Amino acid sequence: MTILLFFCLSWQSEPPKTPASAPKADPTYWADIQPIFRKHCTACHSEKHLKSSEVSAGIALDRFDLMRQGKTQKMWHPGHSDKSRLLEVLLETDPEQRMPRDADPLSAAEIDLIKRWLDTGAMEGTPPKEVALAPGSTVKRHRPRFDLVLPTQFTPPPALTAGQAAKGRLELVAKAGPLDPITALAFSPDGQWLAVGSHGQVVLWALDAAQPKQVLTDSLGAVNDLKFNADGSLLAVAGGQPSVRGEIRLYNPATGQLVGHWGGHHDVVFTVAFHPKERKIASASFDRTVRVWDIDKQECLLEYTGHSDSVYAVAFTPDGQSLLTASKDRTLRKVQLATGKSELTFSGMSEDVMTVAVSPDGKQVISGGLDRGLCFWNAATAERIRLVAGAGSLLEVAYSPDGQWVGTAGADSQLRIWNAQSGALVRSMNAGSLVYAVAFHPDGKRIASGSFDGQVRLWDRNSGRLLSHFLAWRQDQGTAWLAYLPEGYWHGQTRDQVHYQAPGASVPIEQTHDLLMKAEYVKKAVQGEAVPPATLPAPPKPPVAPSPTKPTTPTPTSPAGKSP
Amino acid sequence: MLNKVLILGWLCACAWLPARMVGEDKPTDERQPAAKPTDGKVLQVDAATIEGITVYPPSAQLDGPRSEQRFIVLARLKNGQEADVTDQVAWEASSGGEFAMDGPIARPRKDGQGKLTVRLGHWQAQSDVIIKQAAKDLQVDFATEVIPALNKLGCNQGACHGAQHGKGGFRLSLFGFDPPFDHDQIVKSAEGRRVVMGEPEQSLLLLKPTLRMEHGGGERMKGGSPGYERLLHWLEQGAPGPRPDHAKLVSLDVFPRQRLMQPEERQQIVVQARWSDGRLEDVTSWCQYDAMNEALSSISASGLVACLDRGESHIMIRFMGQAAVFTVTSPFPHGPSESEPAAAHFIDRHFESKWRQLGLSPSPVCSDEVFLRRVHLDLIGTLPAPEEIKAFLADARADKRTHLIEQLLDRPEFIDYWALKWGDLLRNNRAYLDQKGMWSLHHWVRGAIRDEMPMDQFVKNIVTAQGSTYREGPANFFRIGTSAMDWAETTSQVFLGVRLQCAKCHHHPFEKWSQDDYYGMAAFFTRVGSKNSQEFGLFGRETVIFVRPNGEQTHPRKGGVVRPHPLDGPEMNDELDRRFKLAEWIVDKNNPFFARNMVNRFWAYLLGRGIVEPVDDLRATNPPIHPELLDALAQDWIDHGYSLKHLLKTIATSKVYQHSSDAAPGNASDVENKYFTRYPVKRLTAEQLADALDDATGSREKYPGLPLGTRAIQLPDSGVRSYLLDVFGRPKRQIVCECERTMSPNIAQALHLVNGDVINGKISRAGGRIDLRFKEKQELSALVEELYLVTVSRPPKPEEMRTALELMQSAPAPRVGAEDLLWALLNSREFLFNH
Repeated sequence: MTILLFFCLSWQSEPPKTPASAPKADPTYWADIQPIFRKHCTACHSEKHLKSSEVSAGIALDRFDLMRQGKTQKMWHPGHSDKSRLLEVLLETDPEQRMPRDADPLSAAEIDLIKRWLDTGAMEGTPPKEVALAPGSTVKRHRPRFDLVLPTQFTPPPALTAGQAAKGRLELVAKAGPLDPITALAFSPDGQWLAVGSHGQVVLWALDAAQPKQVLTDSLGAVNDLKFNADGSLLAVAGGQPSVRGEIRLYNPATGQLVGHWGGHHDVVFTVAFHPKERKIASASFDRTVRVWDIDKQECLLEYTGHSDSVYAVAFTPDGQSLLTASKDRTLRKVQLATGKSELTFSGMSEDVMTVAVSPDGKQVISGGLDRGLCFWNAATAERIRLVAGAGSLLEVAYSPDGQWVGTAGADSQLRIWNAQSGALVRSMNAGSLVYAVAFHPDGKRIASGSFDGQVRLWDRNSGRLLSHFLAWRQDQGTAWLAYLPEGYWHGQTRDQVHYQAPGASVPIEQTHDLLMKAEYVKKAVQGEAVPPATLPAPPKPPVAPSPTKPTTPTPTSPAGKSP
Repeated sequence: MLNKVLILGWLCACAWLPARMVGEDKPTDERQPAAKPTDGKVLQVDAATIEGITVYPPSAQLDGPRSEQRFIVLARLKNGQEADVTDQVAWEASSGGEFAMDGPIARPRKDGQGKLTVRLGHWQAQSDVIIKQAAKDLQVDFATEVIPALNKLGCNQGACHGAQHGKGGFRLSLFGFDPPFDHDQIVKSAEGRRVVMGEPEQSLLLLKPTLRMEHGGGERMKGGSPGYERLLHWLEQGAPGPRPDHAKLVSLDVFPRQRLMQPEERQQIVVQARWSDGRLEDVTSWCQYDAMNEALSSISASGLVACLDRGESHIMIRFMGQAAVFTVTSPFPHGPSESEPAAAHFIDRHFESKWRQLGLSPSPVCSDEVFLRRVHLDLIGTLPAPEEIKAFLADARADKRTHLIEQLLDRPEFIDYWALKWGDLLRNNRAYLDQKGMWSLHHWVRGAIRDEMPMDQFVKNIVTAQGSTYREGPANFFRIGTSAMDWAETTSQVFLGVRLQCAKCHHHPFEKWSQDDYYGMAAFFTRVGSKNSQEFGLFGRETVIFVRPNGEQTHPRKGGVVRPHPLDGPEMNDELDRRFKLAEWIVDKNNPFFARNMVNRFWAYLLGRGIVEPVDDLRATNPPIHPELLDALAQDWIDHGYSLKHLLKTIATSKVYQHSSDAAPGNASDVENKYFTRYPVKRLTAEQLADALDDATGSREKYPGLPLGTRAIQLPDSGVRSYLLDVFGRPKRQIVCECERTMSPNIAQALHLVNGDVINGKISRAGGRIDLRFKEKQELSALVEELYLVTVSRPPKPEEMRTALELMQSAPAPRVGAEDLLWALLNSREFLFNH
């Protein structure tokens, strides 16, 4: 297993020394020069822009090794600042020719430091260590989580609320805000796991226990996509540091062990796709490229650069011969794996294409994006078969395992189910806020949605019933979690993480805990089974003979008997 | 030719030179500051010289735990000047402990009402302070707190993320006019890559503008700055989106509004925003500031104004779609002009006070011959004939100038000249209207001017025109544009002087106009349609403008119908034709735009620049140099029935119009002549020049398609081919802007005059002036005098006469000498300029 080392930009390292404070020691690239370049130069002259010569002129200053390659190495001569073009362009008097372009010239102190660095041999110094999730600033702010209000469908009976008639539904209140938006979802092929991705964290929920069994927190930065391979032995996590690098990480889902990780993209990876047959994985990135990797050697086998803007999605055809890609450049491409060439372009969209999926039989392609339509395409000809409007912007689309249904994640907060053959809308469910992610359970009967509000919702595909909510958030010690049902039942780590409220009534915590903290009902609901409505047990010592309607008929006297 | 060049050199040396008027350096003593500033900051004021102090703002609200209010204190001095004494006063918060002062800044402590007292010597002043929600943990509001921060940092400006396609994949609405869109872009788009809820400092939104990561836009803020803290706080609260019912900005109050300052003096200003929910907020740190004349005054990002040089200048202050202006007046050091008898003309009275305030004094009144030439060109576009010159100079009446003006207003050329101006404004052009439509509109305009149709009627007829474009001249207005949007833009710019185009796609950057206002104007025209007619035969191509019974204007961004409403006006409708309501609103006596725009335009035609400049850009942030004069002129025009002739006469009879164009010691420092202390030097317009050349040479240009004798000012549109007119900046009538007529010089103009076949041909043509005079065997001295009269509109001076006669005698033949003399006169600046 090779783990490539990444050069880390120095915003993650210590703040640069000021030139005046350290005049004695010879300046080095990493300690003194790179911070100047980063401030003035590397927005254009970076590895990321190396190939766009109109931006970088083929010059990269953001890494020392790059400075000794290509055109950049001719720009400077260690020991000879007077022969270094690098210094010349900074000192240029014609503002049209001077660097940085369209900006004020560098300060005399900065120029002097660069000159001294060149004259003293242009030493590299020590590169900053790779830091996992380093804080952006050295000042750690005390950031208490705020109350998150979780509405249910349960109306607390007056018996519970000391006779006060609640004017609305019960709400669970947890100190969990703000939740990071859910950006990725995946069910394991055996249906045991639901992997949930949000910034810096992947939570593997065991569905039978309705609680997390693994939490992966060493996935640097954004988590934009999660995929299990066909036998469920690998979980791929796609993401990275926005504007810095893209990463792919592979985990063993059973143990939570990182089994491989690599980069290469210059910006975040939005989507990954496992090859259906071979040990390959494809990645689509904000850096406008699509790459195909050998999983074992972690080598890039193919780089497709045909898109003129960010690539949001990638999917393999079931035969493994081609890739479908979706881009902000308003097109989809079908790229042949053997040649690396685009064989078909799917066009006609007026806005970004955000997502693409291929039907299990490989004949149909669906796509969605910001121009408010679900497109059905003939995979072989790139002809559009159908455009279904009225669904708003779509951020992810998925086929059910049998290919009969399509699920879509809408920016209008709706999770929609469509008939894959007719294109008819079957059902639309409100998922609380903008939906980033959608995934079908392998049994085809359940579907999960991940929203901007940080909640995962599990639904019954057939009836549209909301089965359960899943929440997880980071705390000083590990990850806290909570699963709750619309019926009001919930299940979490500790009793004290939730309290209750309802309009017009005060809800006692302990009695309500007894009534609603029912892990078995949460587990049943997650499996799609029905749960009984929450009812209070009959009062312990009724003054008259118990009547079957008594507990549900609110009377002003009954709660009085409950008060100690 | 060598001869010609020599004469030209001689003429230029002795004849009148416009170059003397402009661009002279100021004497060095004038650049000395009047008083020494204290360490380059604020003048330290001796308490004994003070006559009173004022604290701004007079009342303040501290609403919410993060609120603050900055105060400033101004002193009135015994010598009539003002001074910022904020740094010298003692601050005292009322004893209840509702708020505390940190220097000039108040911060809340607990809810209640308090009073701020400031003291300087024995002077004191007070301001009321109301404190609300001091302990409440208020959410940072996206629309009214985050957007202003993005505006202030410049994130959403047109060159950065506010560009049509954004920058670096990140796009914001221009100047934040669409908060829901911006919230989606920042928080949600591209899988939310720009924010990290759990670790806000890791958000690109904060990393990039602080340069902790590369940022193409450079460093926009520092960690810990107010903007950073506000964005961070908002992220910590989960980056909540804009509330649908968020408060709207009602008004922007600037304290003080204006100041009399000395060069190198500084003044901190305070800006208070009044919100629709009743809150009063100190937004001084969040406004965008622009100095409108950077040579005269400047302003820092925090609102500290520095007076740099003498003159009057303005600071534009923008906040959340509204704009205000702070005026810096720094008088020129000439002292008041010699006390003159109070002027009889209201224009002159207004200017006298302005000049006194600015320390300027006007040039003397110009000579009769200069006035005669000037007023001919300005009122009828034509040079005076030799007999007219002689008669006017011989006229001994005291009010002969007024008589002359009245005569000119009744000349047929008056109709030609002003029909030409209106043809420009209405963009009468055969390319849009084909020939018949173009003539139809041209004749209608001529008829209206001939019949002295009041301008309100004139505009009403145009705005509500319908019917055949061949029969109804004004109906052609609706063929020049093609959509309700075009007509709304043209109506606003031509008749109201408001450039509304920006608001088509986004909130106007320097004005309060929003897309609602734009489409509210367009809604008046949505029902106007056109259809073809065969009245003039199958291929007559006649168009009929008609009004449909239905049709609504939709809002491109918000969707839904926009009801017709004029700028700043109420919603209005008319079952039959909405345009009548608009027309009535435009010409209403109380309309703030129409009369002011019109008088400003005609002022500019006569005096070279508008009271508001550019003339078709009336807005709060482009203030008139003399608002009271503009109002008075507009009111006088309204009171006299919107009469064009009355307006022109009013301006031309003022002394301001009759000043010499030579700079006087009392006004040379006003280099741009912004305050009309002298008459501006103007190059003859293309049409004036073409006719003047024809008149002087006695050789008429034949314009294609028109009978011989048609003058350039009579041409119906720019479709009549003429190289000379095009070279001298005749507008193509394609854009609705006064700037389309270019007055800038170019090499083609110079070559055309000096060496062009046209000029040489005209001078020597058989039947031309010189040819005739030689056939008549006229005396040479009479000829010289005539040539002077027909070109520079004055008799030659004795030495000019002597030199000219010598020239003719030394020439190979007297006729060649005469031709050379005329050529030189036609190339002299005195001929080419109206001065």
